[in-house]
Formats: sequence, structure tokens, C-alpha cells
Amino acid sequence: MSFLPEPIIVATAVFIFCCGAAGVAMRKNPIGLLMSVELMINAAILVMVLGSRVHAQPMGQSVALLVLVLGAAEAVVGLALALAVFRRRELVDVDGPQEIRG
Amino acid sequence: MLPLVPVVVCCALAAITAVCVIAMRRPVYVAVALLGHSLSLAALYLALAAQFSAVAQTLIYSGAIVVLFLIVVALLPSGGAEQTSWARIGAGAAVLVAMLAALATAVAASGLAHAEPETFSVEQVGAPLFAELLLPFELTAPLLLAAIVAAIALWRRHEVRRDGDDEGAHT
Repeated sequence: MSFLPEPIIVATAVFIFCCGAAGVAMRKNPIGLLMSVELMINAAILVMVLGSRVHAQPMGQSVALLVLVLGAAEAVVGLALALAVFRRRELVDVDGPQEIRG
Repeated sequence: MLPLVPVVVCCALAAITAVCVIAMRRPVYVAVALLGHSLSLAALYLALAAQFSAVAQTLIYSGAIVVLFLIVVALLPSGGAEQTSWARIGAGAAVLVAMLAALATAVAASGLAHAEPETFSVEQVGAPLFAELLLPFELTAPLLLAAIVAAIALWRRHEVRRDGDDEGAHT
């Protein structure tokens, strides 16, 4: 039995996405949490680039570029929030702040 | 046909660094693991003959986003190890197993077509951005602008409130 590269890449993307989801559930540090979200975005981009190749269409890579920009915007807003909320706190824990409830 | 060995090596590196991202406890190590993850994905895109995506991944992710993370790690008060509980780790493991099972079932049910390899030039990748994807492409400009304004507004509100606190403490 010979191994084809495409299923290996899809399996890797699935694994990376699941790692990101587990990180979002597990992390208490806002930075680790945002990095886990970045992992999930990376896995989605990987599937898009692979799909662009498998279906022989450049559209997948174009959409991947847009998602990359989306990830950058998400990181900027998330990190600004983390800085604004946690800069003067002793304990950096996403369960801690109660004033942003509701 | 894709070259098998580089693909397998890059996939293994990407998977290992992804595990490092969620398993490491110090934020600086996590940022370095994310950097390695991003670079191994860029190498994988090169193996997939998607040069433009590889360059974009290296420039935007490794160059901009990871550096932004590192700056925020330096600015946050607690750069030390994260205190996590066993309940959290159990929840993360449960999510990992459940999502792996669900996604593996879905992927196994869908077949992968096997096309001849084709390399797309930057011109070919950029063409849909000005045809079918024109509206999303134009919307990224206000999105980025809104993200910048939101980041500055969050920061400024914090600064103003802190100045007010300081005045209150003096009087």
C-alpha cells in the first residue's frame, strides 16, 4: 500500500484544528488562547491551499489570503483586549474579569 | 505527483509544533512554537507548489502576527508559567478526542479527487480577487481599519481611565 500525500495533509490539518480547539478549551492565559485560535485558522488555510491544488483552481489560494488578513485583524483586536483587561492585574486568567460580563 | 518525503516531514513538524503550542506553559515558548508551526506550514505550501501562499504565510504570520504576540507577552504583567487545573486539561482532552472523532469521520466519508499538479502564478491567484472575490477583497480594507481603530480605542480608554484614577488619588 502506497501513501498518498493529500490524505496525509488533510489528516494533519484535522489534527491541527483539533489541537487548536483543545487549546481554546484548556488555556487560561489569553495569549495562549489567541494562539490556539490562530492554530485553527492555520488549519483552515492549509485545507484551502490543498483544495486549490486538488481541484486545480487558484480561487482557494485567493480565499486563503483573505482568511490570513482576517486572522491578523482578529489577533490585533484580541491582543488589544487582553492588554486592556489584564495589564494591571496580578493574575492573567480569562475566567477572572467579571466587569466585562453581559 | 507530490513529493512524499518533504510533505511528510513538514506535516510532522507542523503537528509537533501545534502540540507544543497547546502544551507549553510559558507564553514565550508558546510564541516560538507558533513561529515554528507557521514556518513549517510555509514549507508545506512550497512543497504544494503554492509559492504565493508560502510567502504570504511567512510575511504575515511569522513576520507580523508572531512578533505582535511576542510584544504583548513582554507587555503583560505575568510572563511566568500558566497555572492550569486538571479540570481544564480534562476538558481540553475531551474536546480534542471529540473533534478528532467527528472530523475524522467526516473526512473519511468524503473522497479526495486526485488532480494533476498545477502551479499557479501570482497573477492567477490575484485574478479572482478582482472578479468573483471583489466584494470580500474590498471589505478587508474597512475590516483592517476597524481593527486598528478598535485597538487604539481600547488602549486609549484604558489610559484615560488610569489618568482619572491618578488625579482622584492626588486630590
